[in-house]
Amino acid sequence: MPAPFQWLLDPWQSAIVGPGAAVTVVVGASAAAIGCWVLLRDLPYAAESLSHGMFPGLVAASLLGIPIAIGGIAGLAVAAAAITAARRWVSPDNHSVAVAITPLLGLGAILALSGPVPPGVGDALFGDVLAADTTDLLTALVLTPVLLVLLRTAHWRLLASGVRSSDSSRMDTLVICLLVVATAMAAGSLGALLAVALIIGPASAAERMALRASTMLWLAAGIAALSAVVGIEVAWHAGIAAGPTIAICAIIPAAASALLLPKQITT
Amino acid sequence: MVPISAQSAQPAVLVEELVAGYGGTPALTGLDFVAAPGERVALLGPNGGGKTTLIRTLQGDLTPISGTFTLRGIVGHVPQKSSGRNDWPVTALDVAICGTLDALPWWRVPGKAQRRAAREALEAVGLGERSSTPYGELSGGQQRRTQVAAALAGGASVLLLDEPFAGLDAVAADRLEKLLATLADSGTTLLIATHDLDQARSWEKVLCLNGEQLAFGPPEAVLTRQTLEATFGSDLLEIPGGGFMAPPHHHHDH
Amino acid sequence: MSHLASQFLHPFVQRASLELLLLCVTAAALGPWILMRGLGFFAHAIGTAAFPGLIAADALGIAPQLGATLGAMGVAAGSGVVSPTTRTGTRTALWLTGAMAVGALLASNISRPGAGVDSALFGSLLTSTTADLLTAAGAACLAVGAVRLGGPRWLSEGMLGRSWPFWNSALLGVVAIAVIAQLAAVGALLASTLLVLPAAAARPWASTIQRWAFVTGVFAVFMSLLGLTASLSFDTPPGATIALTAGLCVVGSLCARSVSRSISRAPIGGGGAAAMALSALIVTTVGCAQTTTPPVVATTPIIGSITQQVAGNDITVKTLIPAGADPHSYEPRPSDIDALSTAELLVRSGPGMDDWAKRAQDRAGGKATTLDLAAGLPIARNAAQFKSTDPHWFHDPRNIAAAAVTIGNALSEIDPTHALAYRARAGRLARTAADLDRRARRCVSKLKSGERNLVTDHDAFGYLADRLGLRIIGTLIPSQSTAAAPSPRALDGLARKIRSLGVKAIFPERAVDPRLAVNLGRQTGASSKEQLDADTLGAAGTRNGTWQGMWVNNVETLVSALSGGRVTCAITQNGGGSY
Repeated sequence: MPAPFQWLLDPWQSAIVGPGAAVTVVVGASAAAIGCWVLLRDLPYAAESLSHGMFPGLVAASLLGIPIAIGGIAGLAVAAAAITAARRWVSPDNHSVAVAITPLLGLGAILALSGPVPPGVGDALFGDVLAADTTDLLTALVLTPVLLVLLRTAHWRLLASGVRSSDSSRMDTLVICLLVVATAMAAGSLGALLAVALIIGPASAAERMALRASTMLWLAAGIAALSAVVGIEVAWHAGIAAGPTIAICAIIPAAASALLLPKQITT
Repeated sequence: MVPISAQSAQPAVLVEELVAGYGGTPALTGLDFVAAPGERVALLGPNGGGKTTLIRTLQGDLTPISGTFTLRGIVGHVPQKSSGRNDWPVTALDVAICGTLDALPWWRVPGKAQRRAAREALEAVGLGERSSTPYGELSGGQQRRTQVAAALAGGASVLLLDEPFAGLDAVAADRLEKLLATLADSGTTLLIATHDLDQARSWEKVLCLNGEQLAFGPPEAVLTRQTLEATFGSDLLEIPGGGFMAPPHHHHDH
Repeated sequence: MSHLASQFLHPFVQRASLELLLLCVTAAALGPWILMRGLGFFAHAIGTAAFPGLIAADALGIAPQLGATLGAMGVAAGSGVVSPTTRTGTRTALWLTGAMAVGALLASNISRPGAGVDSALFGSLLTSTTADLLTAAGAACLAVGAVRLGGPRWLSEGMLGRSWPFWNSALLGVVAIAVIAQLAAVGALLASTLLVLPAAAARPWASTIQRWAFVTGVFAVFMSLLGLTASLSFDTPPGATIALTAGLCVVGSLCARSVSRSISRAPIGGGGAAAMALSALIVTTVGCAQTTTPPVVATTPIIGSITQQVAGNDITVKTLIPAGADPHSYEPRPSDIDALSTAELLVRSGPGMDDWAKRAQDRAGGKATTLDLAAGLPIARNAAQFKSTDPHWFHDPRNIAAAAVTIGNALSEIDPTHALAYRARAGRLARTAADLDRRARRCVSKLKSGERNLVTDHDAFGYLADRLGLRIIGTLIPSQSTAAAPSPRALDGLARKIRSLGVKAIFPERAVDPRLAVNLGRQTGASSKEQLDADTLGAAGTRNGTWQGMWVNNVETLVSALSGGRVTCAITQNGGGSY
């Protein structure tokens, strides 16, 4: 690389940045691919609220003395089950997410006062890109192919249910399950905010650029990976926080394409 | 109701050199026709031929690209089949009352007078006894007639109906057909988008559309093989023993 | 039961009930429309978007209420813009996430707010003021009026496909205003709970919109009063309790509905009413919170610890934030407000640490004398990153000694009969603090100069470093706000510094997720296993359950970790466990 652009490589020579960036690229790309289905099935509220559903799980885990990570995943599973149940019995509309999640938040807050819970247990929701380590990277590298296989297997079924609007509640459940895996992966290592940004932002941009669902998935994954790289570059040189910067970078393409491009896919 | 003869001097619908479309792109050109009070005008044409565009323009949803149109009296619109939320807790009467809103200033809400008008309109369409039935529990034909009642409750003298017969079984279609005939007799002008040539044949006027106005006039003058082929393309099916059939209708939710 | 009834005689409980009833009116009017028009996410997003607004207000130096309102309104306007090509949910999610990201950036790098900012606005039901009640009444009137005028128009849009752009915006605006108006009084969780859950519970019982609104109102009143009663009975925070009871009520409503459908049409109302009555009975009879209201209230565990030591057995001291709990996410419980409203003395840590205390006391209608310990201390440390003085004064034992004397004097004034005992205990605590100070300094003096570099999570240990002659060479997280995150270059710089200075340990706070410190430790070879106590204590009876325990633990941990295990000193050796 010629000397004038040498500065572009600066962030990547730091040992602090490397693992976090790699985790963000890998996790972000698969989260964004799942995000496409989240958008096409109109589930962004579930995507946004699912990570909050972890809270009672985290609290319960610390009360019972089991690892916080297990509590978080159990909390996610309970939240996803609650959302699915509410969609089934309360209403298929978005507000069933509120019906499922608000009581869980209340339960978490009450549990947190009932015993010696370490302060800041909810901060596990605010993971940091720069705190990601090789374990996170390994987890991501193991889970990503699983997710890709799942997406590949379910692709035509998901597409067909959009066209025929048959067995759509089962497909919603499938997308929510994928979302649980993506959130468990992303919220733990990157933080809840960045997780939501990577699920929604790139997919929303890709929706306007792609004519076919499969193109949309690839595009979203690409945009997510790119925004991770650009975000770290910007955060490094501007000296600002990495996570929020990547989140903004993941949303900018969506905002730009909403202004500039007409919508392509209608499912 | 005012006798038809007294009104027929003035047209209820007057369209002159109208070009209509979305966002400045013409979808329909050369519109020029007149409908007298109490006339049923069939809007014939293939899917995408411009029927909905014309209705939305006359309704005021779309601004004409050029040309003018005049509608005398209040215009009522009966939307396509898919509209109307079946999952809302709303009775037939509620829906009919909604039709009175267009005539009210923004700070007014429907009161006793509007409620009475809505009840009368429901009676008129034969749903007087169904007024407190939830909209979602009405049959397709009843829902369509409720929509007509909403338009009537608003005092409409010109009705724009977008594919009112789509998806109705023979009995329901027959009832609606009879209702439309009664309305026409009492002086309401009806513009009805349809695919059914036989129906169109029994009405007063036919307007053939396919991106442009191809023909307008009484059915016997318009419904010739030549015009219909121009309207529907060569897909037209000839029925043994005389008559034609338009290609099978594919309904699209918009 | 009688105890519970007497709780409702408290003015703060009556105000809370009134506030809830007003909120229920809003919920009854707007709830069905929020559900019919799919505005649940919108309402939630507005409540959440107030948070970045608060941070921005802190950065711009404007009033927090204004900032929160602007933040919420910005997201409401952004996601409410009628655009046929993006789904509302997607638009809301994008705007909300964008606002949260900007808020996090502001919190990390521009404004660097203190600990209180995140919750500067979020009130509790139990501390509603007359102004809150008026706001709630205004919001309720607006909601009822808007539904009265707009309802038929929204209906005609849904049923006849008419479009009413003005009335559509009006619906979004009124929902936004309803959420924002409730935010300051009851918090985001409760505001969105009551706008959505009662309407969802009422839906299967309603055949017309009017009936739906009525049943929603009934459910809302039932859920909120049941929740409030449960909160009083079990002494739990009311917002969280109402959210939970509301969720259970939705489940109960759906079950009752399916049962009543399967039996017959007759017991529809009866079954529901019986279930409601049963649950109400359970809550009121099971509840058994018996609290004697102590005359002295302390805000944080550290303040509670030193106040209790001075008070001895002569006066009970109530600490508002339980030991081990997170001071940043505190919602007062009924017993807290009860204590605040009847206490004679409120002992505070000071600005930047417990700013909520004054407000909570004002709102609880208490007439207690407030003792602001930070006001009269010998050592006050100014630091650029804190808006005024560094609020962590309790990490210098000389301040503790002075605070003990101040508390002793204050207790003597409210309870002159035991004045001698208070002064004696205050003197003893002051001597203990001086003793621990001496021992700690002696212990730290064994560290070499190169071993005196301190790296912590937040900038909470300035006083300790100053007193013990340690150098703070950096902190991991730039501000106290939970949303704050470090910049990669700053963290890389810190890692280089740690390596070049040979720092042996990085100290995460016990209160914070240690992942960042652990990662930095792995990168630099420094240990990150040892945790320090910054602004809270461990549970009573544990080693760090008192101020003395915290100080001893912090110093011993520091010395042993910084020297890589070379220096160990048991400060308490001669103290013989008297701490």
